[in-house]
Formats: sequence, structure tokens, C-alpha cells
Amino acid sequence: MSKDVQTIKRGDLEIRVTRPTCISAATCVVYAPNTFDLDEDNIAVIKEGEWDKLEKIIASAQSCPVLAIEIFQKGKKLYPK
Amino acid sequence: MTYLPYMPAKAKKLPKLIKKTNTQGVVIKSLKDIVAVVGYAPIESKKGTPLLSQNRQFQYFNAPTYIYPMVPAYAASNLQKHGFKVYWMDGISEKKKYDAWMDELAATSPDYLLVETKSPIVKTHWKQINDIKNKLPFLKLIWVGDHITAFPIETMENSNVDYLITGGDYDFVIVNLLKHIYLGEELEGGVYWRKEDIDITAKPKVKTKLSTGKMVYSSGPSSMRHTLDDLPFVDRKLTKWELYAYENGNYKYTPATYMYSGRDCWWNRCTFCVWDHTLNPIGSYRSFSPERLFAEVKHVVDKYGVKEIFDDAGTLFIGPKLKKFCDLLIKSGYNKKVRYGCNMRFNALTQEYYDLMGKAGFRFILYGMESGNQKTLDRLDKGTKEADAIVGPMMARSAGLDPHITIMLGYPWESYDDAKRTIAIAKYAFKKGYYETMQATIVIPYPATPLWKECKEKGWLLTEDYDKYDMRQPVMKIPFSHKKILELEQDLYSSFMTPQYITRKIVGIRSAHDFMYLFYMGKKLIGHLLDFDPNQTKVNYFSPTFLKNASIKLGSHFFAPKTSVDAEKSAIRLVDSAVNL
Repeated sequence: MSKDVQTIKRGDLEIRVTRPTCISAATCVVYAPNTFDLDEDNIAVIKEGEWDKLEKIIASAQSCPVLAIEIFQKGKKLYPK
Repeated sequence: MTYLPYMPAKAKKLPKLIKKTNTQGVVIKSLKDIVAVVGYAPIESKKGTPLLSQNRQFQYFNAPTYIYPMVPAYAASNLQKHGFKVYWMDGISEKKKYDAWMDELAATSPDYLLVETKSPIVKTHWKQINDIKNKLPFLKLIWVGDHITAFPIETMENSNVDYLITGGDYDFVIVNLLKHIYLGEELEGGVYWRKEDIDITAKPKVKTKLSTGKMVYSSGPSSMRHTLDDLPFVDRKLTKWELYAYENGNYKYTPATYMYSGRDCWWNRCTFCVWDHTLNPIGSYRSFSPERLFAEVKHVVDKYGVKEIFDDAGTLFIGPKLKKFCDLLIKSGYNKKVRYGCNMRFNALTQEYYDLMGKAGFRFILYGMESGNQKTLDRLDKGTKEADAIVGPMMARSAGLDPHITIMLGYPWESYDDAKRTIAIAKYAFKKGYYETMQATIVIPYPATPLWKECKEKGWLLTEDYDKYDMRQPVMKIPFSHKKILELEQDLYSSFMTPQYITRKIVGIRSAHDFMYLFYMGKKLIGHLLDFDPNQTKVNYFSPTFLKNASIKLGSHFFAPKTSVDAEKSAIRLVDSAVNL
């Protein structure tokens, strides 16, 4: 995986953030505060601790204005379609 | 990092001039011998005050309103910081006559004039440009703004303007342009000039031939990568801040002023928004850091005694930045000294953020509802759901904020009943106390927006005469009459008038100031009812036809408060908004 894309897998869930696409809107942090944060450059990062429920994670990916977040479950892409 | 207001630099070694005369051929010793004027020439119209300095749109108001032009103000302040002699000449808010403004302009013996334009005014500006060039031939004219960013060659073709700066960072690029001319600094992207102009030594990236055969050069795509924290504070004295400190419906406490913390909106996708698709296209969003924004807030409160601030960034930053900014206001105690207002999206914040904003002194929170119909929200790529228009303001209200809603009517695909449904939703939300105030407009497909392109493809445009894009008439084909859309706008403006809303207003009066504010808002409302009276400029405040029209509209809501959406909207729960899942 390139250094521009942060990917974390946990169980059957995988989240990817394409960092160069992120514009620091921070909707992901508001929608899923346990899953996303902004780093010191104000770019979205996936957090290490316990994540939010899947419904919230998908809603946060949907809230991203530039579609920088991708969600996969069991290898199947949940968002964006 | 501490942020200090711009202080004139002590005598330092002056940079070496490569051009040693000003535009009138007079020898100069330094940049401070170059005079730059920033402002607007007066625009006289029977339609009222032209809101040319309003971000993202344009209209005339019968009730005089003067909005602080933030990016032009940063341009003036940045020019001054970099050593130029600067004058601020806003002929609109200074209520000048054109000839008097021209005399004043001449008296500054200016070298450069920077003016922001917009589609509904651009044709007037073409004439003003040519008149100014006739009277002051040495004066170099620099035009900026959304319209010329989308159609630069058109303005080069239709006027004698000297330069155009495209893109939303013209407050940086104007300094670069003049430093290129006088100090040989490398020219940034987005500048247009004429081949005959010997002051520009940069090699053009793009060459375009006009219909006259003459050549126009440009330095390539707009330069949009500047760090906003590098800007000086707006010099409020230079830019005559008091012109914009009182007459503005966004203020409850005065004197008040504006901030502009972000460029422009991080959603950046609404198809009707002209700035999203010209000055600040998707991917170019940037904002001040919370620390920098707080430093300028502190500066205007300490130095000018400002009591309320409206931050007109397209949408205020959220998440960690908003938390940090609120903490800075709370910990410093400035949450008690100044009230803060901003633009927000219905589905951008949770109750936790709203409560923090309430504590931090936020008051006025402006949402773009646009329409009550989901099909329209989807077509506009608004990214919101109908439930959000209730849940967001409900949460804001419970945190003590005053939701202000902007709504547009006149979409080609919306029927008369669709428009009535939007009015019913607004009326319901006013009645329930979720909405505090509103601004209603006719949707305008500003040139260069995706909505405008859709209209052109589908033959929905009634006219391409830019003058008509001033919200005083529909410019798109709609499935009902022109007169009806004006009546609907009046109906929408009257929809607050329910016994519940009025009772809450009266019971809520706590001070003489509250009473005066209520009176002021009532006057504003009458102004808006006049803005959209079907008789337009044939009536005024005292015309019997207008007064009868307005009374009928207001009365019809007062005596029939129930709406067709009461049950539907009362069933909405917090979790119906995705932010609350």
C-alpha cells in the first residue's frame, strides 16, 4: 500500500484514507470521533483504539466532500459504491 | 506563534527597483511611492443598495445593507504590509455619487485600482472601466472576482481593463503582480495582461487572440496554494470598518465586524454556488489556524470594541479546529466579550459541538437550506437530507444559538406545490422555534456554475443578459408565472408570522436592546417584502398596494398557523440525521 494511503484492517473491516485527497474538512472526525482524527498537518488519520460502530463509520465516509475514505467488509467495498 | 497586527517596518535596506517610475512616469524611490486604490465605484440603481461585496452572490436590498468585503480588505492590508501606499474607496457603502467618487480617485493620483466584480454588475463595470481609462489614462485597472475568473477573455474583449487576477487569492497575487513589475519577482499564475504592456516581463504561459486581432497573455492557472496565516490582520482603520459595522441583518450587537476564516467552503460541491466553481474550486479549501483566527478576533475586540463578529467563510471549519477555536475563546474569557456568527451545514455538527459553541459565545448560525424537497437537495449535490433541516437547528437552538436559514425558490424542476412545501417547512420550523430568522432569494444559475451549464444544455435559461441575474426576476424557465415567484417569495418571508413565533419573540424581550433589535428586524422584513413585491420599483414603503399585499400575506400565516407538514416534521428524531447515528 503506498504511503499516501493509510490502511487499517480490523477483523473483517478495512478502512482506507487517501491522504493527498483529504482537504481537512474534518466531517469524519465529527461523525466517527473514535475512528478518525486530524494529524498535525490537519489530514485525516485512522485511530488505533476502539472504532465507532460500522453505521457511523459509513456515515462519516459519506460525509467526506472529496470521498477520501473507503470502507471494505470481507473484501467487499461498502463505500463509496 | 503570536500574531501581531501589521506594524510599519523600521527603515530597512530598500529592495532594488527594476522599474524606477510610477505609472505616470514620475521617478520613484521605493514601493511606498506607488499608490494602490482598492474599492468599488458607486452603482446607482432604483432597485436599492447593490450588495456587490456579499460573498458568493449578488442582490439589491431596499433596506440598506453594507457587507464588509473581506478579501478586498485583505488585499488592501497586504499591499500596505508590503510597502505600497493604499487607499480604500468603497463608493457603494460611502453612498457616493459616481462623479464625486471619480474626483476623489483622481485626487489620490493613483497608479493602480483593484475592483471585484460579479456577473450582474460586470456589464456596468465594462462601461465604468472605459470611462475611468478615459479620465485617468495612466491609472492601471485590475479587475478580480468570480465572473472574470470564469470568463477572463470576455472582459479583456469588452473593456480596456489592464490586468485581471483570476482565483480567490487575489489578495496575495495583487502584491505579487506589483512586486513583479517593480522588483522583478517571479509572476504567479492567474494573471492576465495585454501584449502591449511592457511592465510585465514574465514569459506568457497562454496567449489568446481577441476579435480585434490583439493578443492577451496569461501566466497560467490561478495560484491558490497560499498559506492564509501569512496574511496580516485586516487593517480596519485603512478599510473604514465602521462603514460595515451597523447596517447588516446578521448583527444583533453593534458595532460589529466580519471575519473570513476559510476559503471558501469545505463541502465545495453545491452546483449553484459560483465561488465553489470559480474562485475556490474543489480541492482548494484552506482556512486560518484556530490560533490565527482567535488572534484577529482578540485584535478587533481590544482595538475597536467590536461586540459581534460574523465569519463569512462558506462553511466554518469543524472538528478539532472548531474545538480549539472554542477553547481559545472560553479560556481567554473573550466568549463573554464578543458574540460570534458563522455559516454552517445542517448535518455537520453533533450536540457536543453546538454546546461548546454556545459556551464559546457563538450566536448567529447561518444554514443554507436551499429547498425543502429532497429531490432538489440531491440535484444541487447539497449532501443533506430533509431531516437535517430540522435536526441541525433543533440542536443549535438547544445550545442557545440563533439559526438563520437561507432558502431559494424558482428551480426549473420544482412545481408551485414544491415551493409551497418549502414554505410550509419554514413556517413549521419558525413556529416550533427551530428557526430564528431567514433570507429568501430567487435561485440564480450564476454563469460558470454546474447549474448554469445544466440550464444551458436543457434550454432552461430565459436570458443570458448578466444584468438580469440580480434576483429581481427569475432567469430560468419555471413551471409558473414570474408574478407567482415574487408572490411566493413574499409568502416565504411572511411565513414566520405565527402566533407561536410572535408570542415567543415578545415574551423573550429582556432589554431595550432586544426591543430595538426586534423593531430593526421588522423594518428589514418590510424591506424584503418590498424587494419581492410584484410591482417592483413602481411601489415603495408607503404605497397602498404594497401595504395591502404585505398585510394579506402576513395575516394569512398568522390566522392559519397549521401547516401541511406539521405531522411529518414532528415525527423527525435526532437519529434521523446521520451525524447522530
